[in-house]
Amino acid sequence: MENILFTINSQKISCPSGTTILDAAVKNGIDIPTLCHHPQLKPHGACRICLVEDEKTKRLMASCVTPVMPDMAILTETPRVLNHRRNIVRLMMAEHPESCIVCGKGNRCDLRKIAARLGIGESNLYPMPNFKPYEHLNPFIIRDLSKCILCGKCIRADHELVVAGSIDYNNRGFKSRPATLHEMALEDSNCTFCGTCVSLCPTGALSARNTRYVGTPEKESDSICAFCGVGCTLTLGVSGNQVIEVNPSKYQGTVNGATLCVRGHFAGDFINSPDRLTQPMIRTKKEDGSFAHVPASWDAALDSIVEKLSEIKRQHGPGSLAFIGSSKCSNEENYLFQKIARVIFGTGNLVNGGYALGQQLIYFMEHKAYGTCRQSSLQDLENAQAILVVRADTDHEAPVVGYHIKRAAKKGVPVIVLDSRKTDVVPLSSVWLRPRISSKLGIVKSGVINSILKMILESGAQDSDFINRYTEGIEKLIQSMNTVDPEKIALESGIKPSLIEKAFKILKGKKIAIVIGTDILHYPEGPSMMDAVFNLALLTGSIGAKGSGFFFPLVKNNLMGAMDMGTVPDLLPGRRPLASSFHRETVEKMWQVKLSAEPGLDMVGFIEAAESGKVKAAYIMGENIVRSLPQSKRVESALKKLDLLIVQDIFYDRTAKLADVILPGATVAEKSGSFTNMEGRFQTFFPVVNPPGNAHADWEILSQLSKKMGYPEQYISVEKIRQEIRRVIPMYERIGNHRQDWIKNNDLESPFSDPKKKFVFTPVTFAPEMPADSAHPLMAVIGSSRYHLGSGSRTSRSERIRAFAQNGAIEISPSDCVSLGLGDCGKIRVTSSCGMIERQFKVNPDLPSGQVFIPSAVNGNDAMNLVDLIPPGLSGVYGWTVCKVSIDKI
Amino acid sequence: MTKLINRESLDQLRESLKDRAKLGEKKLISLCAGSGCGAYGTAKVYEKLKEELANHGLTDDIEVKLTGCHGFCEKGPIMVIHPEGIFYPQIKPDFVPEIVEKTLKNGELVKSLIYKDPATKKNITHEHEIPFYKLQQRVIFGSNGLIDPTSIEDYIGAGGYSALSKALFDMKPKAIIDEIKKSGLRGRGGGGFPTGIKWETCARHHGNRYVICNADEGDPGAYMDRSLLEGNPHSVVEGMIIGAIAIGSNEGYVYVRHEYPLAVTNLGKALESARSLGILGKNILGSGFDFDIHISRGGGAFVCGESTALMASLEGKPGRPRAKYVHTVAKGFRDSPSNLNNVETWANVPVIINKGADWYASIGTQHSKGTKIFSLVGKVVNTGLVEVPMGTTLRQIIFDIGGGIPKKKKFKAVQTGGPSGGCIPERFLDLPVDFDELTKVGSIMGSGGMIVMDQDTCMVDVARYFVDFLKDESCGQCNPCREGLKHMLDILTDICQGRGKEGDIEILEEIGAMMQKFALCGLGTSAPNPVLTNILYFRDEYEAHIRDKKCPAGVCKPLFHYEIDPEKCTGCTVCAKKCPKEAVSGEKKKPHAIDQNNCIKCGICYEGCKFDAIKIC
Repeated sequence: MENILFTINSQKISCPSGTTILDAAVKNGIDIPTLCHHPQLKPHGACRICLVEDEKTKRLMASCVTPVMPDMAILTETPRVLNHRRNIVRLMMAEHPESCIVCGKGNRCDLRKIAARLGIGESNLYPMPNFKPYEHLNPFIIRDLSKCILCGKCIRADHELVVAGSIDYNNRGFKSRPATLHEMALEDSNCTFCGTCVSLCPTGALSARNTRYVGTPEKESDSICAFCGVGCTLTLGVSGNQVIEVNPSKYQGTVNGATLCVRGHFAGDFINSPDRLTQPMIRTKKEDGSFAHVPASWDAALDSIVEKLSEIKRQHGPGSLAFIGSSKCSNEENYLFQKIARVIFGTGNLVNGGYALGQQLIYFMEHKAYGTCRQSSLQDLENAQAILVVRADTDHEAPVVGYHIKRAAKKGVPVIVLDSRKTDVVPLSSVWLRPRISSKLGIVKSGVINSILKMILESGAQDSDFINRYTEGIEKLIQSMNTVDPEKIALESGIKPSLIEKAFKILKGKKIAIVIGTDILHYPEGPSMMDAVFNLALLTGSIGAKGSGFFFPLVKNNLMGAMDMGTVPDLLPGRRPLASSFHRETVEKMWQVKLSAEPGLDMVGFIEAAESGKVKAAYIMGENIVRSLPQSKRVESALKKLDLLIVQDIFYDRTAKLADVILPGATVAEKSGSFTNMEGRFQTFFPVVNPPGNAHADWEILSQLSKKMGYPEQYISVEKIRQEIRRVIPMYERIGNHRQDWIKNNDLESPFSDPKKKFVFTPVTFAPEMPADSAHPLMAVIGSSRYHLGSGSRTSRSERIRAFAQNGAIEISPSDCVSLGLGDCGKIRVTSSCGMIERQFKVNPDLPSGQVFIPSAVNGNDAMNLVDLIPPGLSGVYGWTVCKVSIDKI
Repeated sequence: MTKLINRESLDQLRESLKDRAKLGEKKLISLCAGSGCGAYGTAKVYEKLKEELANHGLTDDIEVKLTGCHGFCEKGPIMVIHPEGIFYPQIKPDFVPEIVEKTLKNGELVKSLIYKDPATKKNITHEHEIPFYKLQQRVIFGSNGLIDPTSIEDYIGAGGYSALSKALFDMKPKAIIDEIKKSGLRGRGGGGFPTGIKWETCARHHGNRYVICNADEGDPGAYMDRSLLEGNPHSVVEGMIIGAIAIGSNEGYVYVRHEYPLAVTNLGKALESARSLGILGKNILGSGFDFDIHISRGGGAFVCGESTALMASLEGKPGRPRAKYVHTVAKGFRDSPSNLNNVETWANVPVIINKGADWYASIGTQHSKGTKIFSLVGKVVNTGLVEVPMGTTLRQIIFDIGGGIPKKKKFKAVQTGGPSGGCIPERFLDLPVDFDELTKVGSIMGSGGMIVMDQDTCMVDVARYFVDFLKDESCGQCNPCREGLKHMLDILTDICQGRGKEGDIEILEEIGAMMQKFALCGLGTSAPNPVLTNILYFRDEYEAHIRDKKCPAGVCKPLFHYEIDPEKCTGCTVCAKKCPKEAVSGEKKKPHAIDQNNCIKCGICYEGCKFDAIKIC
């Protein structure tokens, strides 16, 4: 593109054609005031503050919307411009309430800043107050639209960034205001309380609600959100030693841009919870014979750990120790944790909380794709040729992923949804393949994909070039296609053949971005589903190209990192298979130890081993497994059987209460470290506040421990640990020099670089038909709502989330409500073969009949008592998020 | 109807229609069925006429046509008997038997029904002799009174679609554009942008080009576009097809107000009949050129007359303007090159193609060519639609054609260009009306509204009225317009209610000047015009309101009272009888007096006094 030469305030400027005057000015360090412009929103040109004058033509133009033209001679502050600019601001001030002194926006108000800059103290006009009701009933957002200056940022963010469509302009002229449909309260509208509008609002019209007065931030520092796997970049506003405000960071190129979700924006107040652990504690026998947690010094706590762990190891061998790492703790902490387990204590019993939440799915795909799909930038979704969303409720699980998909859909990228639930992406999708609830689960969803595979093969629409060069085994797939009967699948799934055909026509010839929810692991047909999806990716050549491949909306912030660091039973750091002698030897050489080839216990294996007494001691870091695993009572009694339980965590919760030694850790805002998000983006963070009381950053605790174990002191800083990570893990060799980096694709041994390697097609498989269970006729899906995450240990400690009256009502389809005679509200008992819970219910007209939705994380995450503690991800069994239930009214 | 497959078949059709007209040698009664006359009761007159003709067995000999608006709305319903051109105004059904009996059967005039010129008090028999018509040059509007808008044959018979033939078969698109450019035609919607240049620019941009007709006429009191669409929709359709040929477009839209039901109906019928004749749709007249027009009905937002707001509305979005950094000719409707012209502009096109650019350019002033239709309303004797050459003076329009101010009151100002036009005072009455001259005095041509005000009009109140209208119609997006109008309205209301302060005029001027430069769209930049010209020309009235707390025109109630001049009062008691509050008292034949505490200043006594005895103080 040709460059355009012109001047601003006599400064010569050259910029590509199409650049707006404002952008050119900003790039060249010239400041033009504006109230409605935001770099991530389409130019709007409404506030008219940014008008500038062309010296030659004397024309006045809004610099935010006017593209530069050759030979323009722009003056940004001529007397005429300044005079009119002042008059606009005077008018805004005449409309604005005179409440600056008590306004939470305080000195950060853009209107106030611009007024000050233009030298306007008072408007000297007649006041024309525009009173609107003050809305503050929800716990998240206060709307005081009397202060609204109609910059339209909230509306544009709602439409362009989060694509929610909750608000728009209401009324015309002076009465014009942003409003929900029919001016409903936010909590009655489809607002998701992502708070993006709050962060963008230039005045005090929208502000975050605090349950008590917290003041305005004294300083702001960037950090990373530690809820879901998206890893949004945040700016934390701090007053004293408290984080009092969260906003999306202004840093460019982040995964979230100017958006956040309700958790990231408003649930961060959990870090101020009174349940925080503030000092080490040791379970001590009191005089009356009962046990109590008694505060101890760090030295005492660590010494007792060293002593007891060493003793147990000496007596029962390293196999009697288990280490539960954390999918929430940092890369450095997980690395150090697994190294302590493997090198100091010599045990391979390592697992983390991401175990059931997608780690197997990622490992499966990653393994089959030779690590070529580690990097999957969400930004690329907007340029994808087509997006297939398979059983992923992105708007609840990882909302920012949902924004990316919806933005792509709005831009015209065809989106196909395969899901029985009506997720928020569905209204924007091109095709919604909605399988009905069927006992023949084995063929329903994978069958639909297999039908599409068959259509692709029959019409010759496969990417033959890709298949010939990089794959093998297509013959076997073609052969196995005889077993695919599209008519039967259409009949059984209840999806019209024409819809499947439509989906095929959209997907054919395109490279597809496949978004897979980690839930599919828990369906009896999970494995056959994963095969079918992988076959689809190969058949369409959707691996290796930008904007294609796999995207996993993960609900754990560092699930990827914990896996990369090796806090898993069967992988060494860098996802090196423990079973491979080559990889084992490589690591042994680097660590100068001998490693056992025997994989360690997984989560279920650990509980079973604790029950049987095989495992005597466990060190749990940053996981509240009593709350997050199925069958909490069983988990509790298993943990009680241990001779030694060490819990390093931030809350005095059910797991910590069982511990012999409690070590108080720190939250992300209180320590340094790094996370690897679902895209493969490595992001660092630094302490913004101090840990409460005598709590320590987790890496410091581990570092102290290794020192006390006599290991040479080498981990005195996060950087020290990171240096070793760079050396040991090739994917991470270039990380840590910037705030954000991308880990490398682990693809040196992939078919793209090694012609001897091939991606392998898998013949079609079917999961076994599930036996009819007349006692439990309904299919329950246990899932997260956008207000809670995972088991809810953190989110349920957020005052705001708690205040939002989340009773976790179970959602039932209208037809089931009728057939069960439930009426339209009340309390019900849900019974599965493993357990029972009681809760309120509500009717959800979007649910298919036969399916109920049970929100997780509420009521102490009691929903997990409905499912069995068995390893998920197996063909033909229900995992941890799906089960058959019956419902009775009580 | 059989499809016309080439230009010859159209010519043949036209010839046959002419022949048919001649063969009958029939008398023709043209009865105005425009919205104005329709409201006065044309339908009933028509029924009665049909009935009477049948009674007299004249149905076959005399043709009755319901036509579009004749323009002289003051005198509706209007009946014109052709070929003589006998003009009967304000016809009621009761008059019909006499007309049929005398005029149609016996060729006599019904003297009592003949038009009486209020100025000369003389009877005028023929339409073309009436000053209201005589001084007009009805190039665009002339056919309205002759053709049945629902009949495409009428239009074709009158020479319609011959310009289309010419454009399709004799001219290259570039030649059409050149002809329009040469004619000097400028947009009649208000902007006055040269139409030919607009077409040329649009044709230069690639993509699916659209031609759009702006029929979102929202100015209070203006209805020329409405009357054109109601009375002669084919002229607009023909203009649009020619435009489409020139620009290279295959799809057109007419964005018309939903409040114009007759216009929508007649246009719809016109499109349908043009389609069935092969004049619209695929392969027009066998030329291979495809073009069709859709009707889109607007919801009545004034701002939707603005091009970008109109296109947003056309796309089904809320009608809000966007900043026009990229012109709609490049990226408009559906992000494609879009050529928007208003109804009257489109109706000018066939005339130019038919009669040639040179002929067209011979009408008007140096930079404003052709004629312009004005909607002449307010305090003027002959309310109606007036088509005059550009350059005709305000005096000619208001006094010669419009017949001056009723009740011998004094002319005060005329507002041109709709609610955002300026108010032009008496001293500019000899101003030749064209785009540039109006701009020079601070007003605009607009789409052709012309509101005449007399001595009883308070200029502050007029400004307040228009700002109030615009404040409600402002979309509310940009700060200058949203807040500026509200602030101006607050100040103007204060002034009208006696709360005006020194400095208010200056604030109005300052905010107005800012809006003119800084508002986002045309609505906002022109909105302060009535206030600013008002202040410029009638500052003394503002000062009287603010300093003396007086409203010289007697409109702003808190700022005046009525008094009876005992010298002039004859004690006729009319005022006392009419007063709804019984605030006037006095003995017969003795001067009366008004009880100020009881008076509600309704003005009934003032209007009713024949002796000018009631004064505004």
